[in-house]
Amino acid sequence: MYIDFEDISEHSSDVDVCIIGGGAAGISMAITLSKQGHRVLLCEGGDADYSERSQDSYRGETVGDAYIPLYGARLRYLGGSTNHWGGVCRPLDRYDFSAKTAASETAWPIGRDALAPYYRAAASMLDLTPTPADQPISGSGLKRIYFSLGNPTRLKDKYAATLSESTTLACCLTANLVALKTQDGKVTSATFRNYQGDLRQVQARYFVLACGGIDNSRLLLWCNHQTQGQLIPQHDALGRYWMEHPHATVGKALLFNPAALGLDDEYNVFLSPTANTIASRQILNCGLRLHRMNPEATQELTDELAEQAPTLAGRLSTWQAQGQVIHGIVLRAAWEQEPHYDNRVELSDELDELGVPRSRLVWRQSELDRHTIRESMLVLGEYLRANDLGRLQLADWLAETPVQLPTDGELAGRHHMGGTRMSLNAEEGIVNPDCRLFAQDNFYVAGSSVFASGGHANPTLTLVQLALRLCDHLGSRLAQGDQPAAV
Amino acid sequence: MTTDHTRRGLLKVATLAGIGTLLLPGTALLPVAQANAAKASKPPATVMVNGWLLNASDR
Repeated sequence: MYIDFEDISEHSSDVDVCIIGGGAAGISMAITLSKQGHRVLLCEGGDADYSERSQDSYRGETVGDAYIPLYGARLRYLGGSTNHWGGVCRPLDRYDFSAKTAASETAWPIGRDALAPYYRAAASMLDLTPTPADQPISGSGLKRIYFSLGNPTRLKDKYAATLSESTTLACCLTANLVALKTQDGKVTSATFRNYQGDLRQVQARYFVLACGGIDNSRLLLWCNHQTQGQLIPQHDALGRYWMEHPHATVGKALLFNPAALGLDDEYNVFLSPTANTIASRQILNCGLRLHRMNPEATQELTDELAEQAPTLAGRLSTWQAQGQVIHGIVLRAAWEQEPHYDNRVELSDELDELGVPRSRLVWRQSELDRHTIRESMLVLGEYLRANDLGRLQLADWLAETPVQLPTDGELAGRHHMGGTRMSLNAEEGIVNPDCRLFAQDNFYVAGSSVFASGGHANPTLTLVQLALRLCDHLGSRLAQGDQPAAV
Repeated sequence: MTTDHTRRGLLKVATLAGIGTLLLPGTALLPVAQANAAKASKPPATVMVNGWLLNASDR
């Protein structure tokens, strides 16, 4: 059911879990916990549909490498960025959870097995299509991988009936978190503000912050500032280790034997380095996306190659005369970014209309990030060349070293990760393996901001798995009648 | 220390020599064969031209 902002304080007196933010993580948790009979209050800062007054709070600065304007990189209304996402999903690889040879900071304090029990439920929630298992390509150092594609579920539409009819789930729109009060290691209340400037306080046994991969950091930075550091006493890592998935068009290739990569059957093929390749080449994870060209573009690329390689051109002509199909492909990529302390969300000096400082994002790609994408392309190029399966051309910006990153085009996937990093101790992160703030017994963080590293796969499936795992944890505490204790 | 000429020691030497024979076919001792083997196992040289990863023989 929906409740009015004016009634939120009165309603909250009997709430088990107050979830702050109605995006992929928040709605997943609200639906799941309320179905289990727990009394849930879902506070969404935006309206039911897009509104400029809400979206305005997403304006912010970016510093460092070229990046997408923060205003347009996400949506601030019920359903969050599931209102415009593409529905592309894939779980993280097993080795994404461990320390990589090139960067030990990629290690999570939990393994993939901790999330595996939630795969089926998360896939059902997001309406994912089943995908085949990864297939190593012998002798290449690569594997063929699969994504669930093309079914972008809009969570606010899918769960519209539950949101409006459930008796255990109350949803309040235009409820924007502006402050938290803490005492003796517990958050005692959250203060919300609407667009008329009215303030209301909410008390609940447990709180979950689920405002996305930038605003989880922004709001905690602001609330921690207001409590003089009582909320997060060890806050060195707050907002830090922020990550994206850099995206770019990385080259082209001509395939003499498209079947070797499976391209004769499907228009698009996805490849990724194997665990051994990642270790031996000292790189991070990477997803290469092969898109087939039309015949005209293929011929243009063939002509271009012929200018550089006249002997090979003679062989290509012979093969084509014999009826052999040669495929041109465009290569796009999304690659893992090193969790780096300097990449961060911080508070700007400018306040939004709600009185909360806007975000300033400081983001740069490291030498390792650049090495990862160049080396991944060389692995594929060497495999094609050594086995005479094709020839690969690196994009101009990638051919020369040091790699000069593109300053336009895709840039990144709008995948905001890190900032409230999961860790085993408060010195290195913000939440523990249960996603709870180290210093608060009843305050949790949901979403990709808790990722310790991000692999190359789109993050939504993983963040929903984490959210459902958090539901189990909270359900267990609630079932035991567990009263939040002093930390 | 005197050399161990026991039966067991001689057997060990003979066995190692046998393994060596298996690992090194007789033709490998010929200079021409060695040169050919080296040529066959060496991957074609890579050259990068305008971003293309090519064999030297492609040009």
